Parts: sequence; C-alpha cells; structure tokens
Amino acid sequence: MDAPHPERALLAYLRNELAPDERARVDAHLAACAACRASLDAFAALVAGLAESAPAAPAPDWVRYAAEVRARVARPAPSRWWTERLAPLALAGALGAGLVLLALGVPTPPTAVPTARPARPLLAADTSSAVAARLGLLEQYPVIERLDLLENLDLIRDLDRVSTGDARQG
Amino acid sequence: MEPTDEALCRRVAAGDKTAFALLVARYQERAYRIAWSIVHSAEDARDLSQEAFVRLYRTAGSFRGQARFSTWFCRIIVNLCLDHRRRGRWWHRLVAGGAERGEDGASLVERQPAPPVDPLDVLARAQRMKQVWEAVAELPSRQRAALLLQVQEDLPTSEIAVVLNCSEATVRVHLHRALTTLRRVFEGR
Repeated sequence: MDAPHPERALLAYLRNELAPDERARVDAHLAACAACRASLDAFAALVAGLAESAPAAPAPDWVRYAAEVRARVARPAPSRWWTERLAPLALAGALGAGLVLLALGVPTPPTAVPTARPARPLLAADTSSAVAARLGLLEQYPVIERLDLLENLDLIRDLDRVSTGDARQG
Repeated sequence: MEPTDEALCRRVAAGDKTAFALLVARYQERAYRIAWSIVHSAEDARDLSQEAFVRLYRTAGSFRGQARFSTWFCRIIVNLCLDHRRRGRWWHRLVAGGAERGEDGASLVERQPAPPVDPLDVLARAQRMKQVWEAVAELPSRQRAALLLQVQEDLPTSEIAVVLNCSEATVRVHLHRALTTLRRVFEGR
C-alpha cells in the first residue's frame, strides 16, 4: 500500500493501469493534494518528452542481420569442455594435494612443558599405507617414500627438550 | 491468417526453421532497438539481439505460454543486456573515451533526432531533453530498463515485472525513482 502520497502509482495512473478502487483512491488524493498534482503534471510532461525525443538506434542492414542470425544458429552450441574435462582433473589435483598435505601433516606447536609423553605418530601406519596404496603418485616423492620416518617427527622435533626433561627428572 | 507468435514459437521448438525465420523477421527491429536503448552501442546491440534469437531457437521448448511470447522474448533480450552492462566492458569505455560512436561514426549526441525547425522554446526544450537522456544513461540498470520498456516499448507495468522477474510494486518503485531523478534534470533543479 502506498504512503499518504501515492507517488509510486502516478505513472500507472497516467497509463490507466490502476484497478478501479486504487484509481479512485488516487483520484481522491489528487483532488486534495497540490504537490501530487504537480508531480503528476511533471511526470506526464517528462514521459511525453522522453517518448518524443527517444534517440533512434542506427539501423543495421537487416538482410545481413538475419543472415548472421541464421549462421549463429547453425553453429553448434558451445561445448562445456572446460567443465567436462578440466573439472575432473582439477578435482583429482585438489584431492591429491589434500592427501599430500594429510600425509605430511600440520606440525603441532611444541608444548610449553614437555613431559615424557608417548610419541604421537603424525600418521597411523594403516592410514599411511592406505594413502600409499591409493596414490602410486606419492611414491615419486622421496619424502613420502619414508613415511615411517614421519611417524616419529614429534619425538625428533622435541628431542632436545625431552632430553633436558629427562635430565631434570634424573 | 498470420500465425501467432506463440504458434510460431511452438513450431520453432519442433525444429521448424521457417517459423524461426518468421519470428526473426517480426522481432529483429524491436530486439535490436531494445538492446540498443540499454547498451547504447550498435555493435553490442547487434551482437546481443542476435544472441537473443540464438537463445530463442535453442530454448523455444521452454516457452510454456504463461506469458505472451513478446514478453518472454523481451525478457531474454533484457537479461542479456543487463548481464552485459554488469560485466562492464571497462576497456571499451576507455577506448571510446566516453563518447561512444555508432557505425556511422556519429556520437550519441549527434544521433539525437533533429529537433523540429522552430522557435527558441523548442530549442530550449530539445536541449533540456538532451540533458534528460544523458541522465537516463546514468540511471541504475534496472531503473533504466524499466523506464525504457515503458516509455519506448510501451510495455505495461505487469509485463515489465515479468521481464525483470520482480513484482509490479518493485517496477513502480524503479519507475518512480527514475522519474524523480529525471524530473530534477528536466526542471533544471
């Protein structure tokens, strides 16, 4: 529903597009509101001016135009080769990268007070073998070939601190 | 008796190329004019309106007859043009230097229809309308499309709502905002 001034309905009013009850409401409002009558007159003049002075589109050669349309229609629809061919490759690449990251693991920050906690393998042996089995590609990377070394990475990284702790404790 | 647009569209969906040629003949001028009024480039209007016919040919089967064919086709054209404007073509504007020229080399201003040879007030009015049309070019895309469809193509608000895929109330808002902006230019405020 319009606000007190039915300005948004004025163009539809001019075009006689309003339903009878809405038109009656606008009529009643216009009879009492000079501002809306001024808007109505201004919009009418503006729309008439626009319609009269609309810039004309430069006409093309219509015979050639129609021939071009026929030629474009005759062309095969553009195939979506990039979605059909590249998307699976991209997906496989992303999956491979994800698995490599998983295999390498994200190094955990060293704890402030190292204790003689058991070394936590970054990758369980069954997981690493499953990864290796599924991705022969990984075998090409020397680091990945020695996945067993990575299992003790936490221990190796914290070796000096573990030693100190052990010394204190001892 | 001439076949209706809707009947021709159904024949196009069945692969009838003659029906398609008839629709192209009926609508090519209108399609081009609508495209040109939105993108203001002869080359782009030609390309976009032709693309609209290609879409029509390939998707005629999706026309369900819920709206008139002209409204449905107009929606294809306007959507293509609005997408085109959204993409920007900044490099095109840069090369054109803001004074786009048509195939005949005439600038937008030069392509304004010549005012009737007459008194000074007519000249003043023509000058004012030139400023108004410049302001039309600056309107937001959907306001501009709604205005042009109503003023130039004489589409009723209900059909513009179908073309722009919005409610009639929204079309009224677009039109009111566009006219309010243009009124300020028209009245020299």
